[in-house]
Amino acid sequence: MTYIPYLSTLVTFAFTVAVYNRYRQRGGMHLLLWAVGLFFYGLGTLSEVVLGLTFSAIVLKIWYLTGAMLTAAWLGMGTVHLLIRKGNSAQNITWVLAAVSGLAFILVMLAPTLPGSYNTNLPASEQYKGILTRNGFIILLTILLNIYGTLTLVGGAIYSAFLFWRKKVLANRMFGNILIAAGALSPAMGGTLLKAGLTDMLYLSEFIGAILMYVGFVLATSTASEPVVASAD
Amino acid sequence: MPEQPRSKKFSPSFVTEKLVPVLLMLLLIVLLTVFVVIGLSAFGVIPAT
Repeated sequence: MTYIPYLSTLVTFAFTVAVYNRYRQRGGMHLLLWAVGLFFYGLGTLSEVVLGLTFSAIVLKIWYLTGAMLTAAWLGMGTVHLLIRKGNSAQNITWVLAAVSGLAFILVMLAPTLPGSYNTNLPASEQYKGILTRNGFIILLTILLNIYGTLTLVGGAIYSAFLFWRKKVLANRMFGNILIAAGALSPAMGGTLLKAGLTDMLYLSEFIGAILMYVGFVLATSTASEPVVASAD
Repeated sequence: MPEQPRSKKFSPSFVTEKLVPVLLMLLLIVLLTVFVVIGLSAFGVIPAT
């Protein structure tokens, strides 16, 4: 199972480049923010690659910061920019998220680590709790960022798919958004199983999530020229 | 002769009429489940991530 983060990293960085190139061609803050979120996603899986080879406290912190705290929130922020076109609300929320992300960065980097029995043959997700000391505020931030990110990213994709379905238009975008929603839910479900103590499927769920979202993005942007997410009009 | 614009409308089929609504409901249920677990971990019922 240790090769999975390698594949996830390749897929995620390829996806990041694809989204960023689309941003360069067409503009759109949503694309830039998705690229930022995907870059965090790739940093998280790259950290898993490194942690599978050797232990490093700083890499474990980057893994937690990007994978557990920032990825979903920044991807969701992109969707918010796509759904809220009027006024400065989306821009203001982005500044708040940037400030919270900076705070999270400082808190996680300052968090003490307990060096000891890190096993490179086991996933970081099985071991980090005993090594990275997180205070209540870090845990609270993690929960809030995950709720915000999951709600906006998955909820936004489901909402968009529903609008396309109701209007019976642009089947490629309807299916693309369904895949994006399923892909975004995959790591969230992996984390949920982990929390419930059932099984550690986090690495596999990250890989499946990256593939589904990438395919969904390609499908949703394949033939049309308008934004991926439907408007409510 | 100018090219005729393609219709953006799609024709109803089993997939779009039956499967898609079920998929959307399933995704919504999974999303709610994730929130329930996050909530339970926030209140300490299960260990927080």
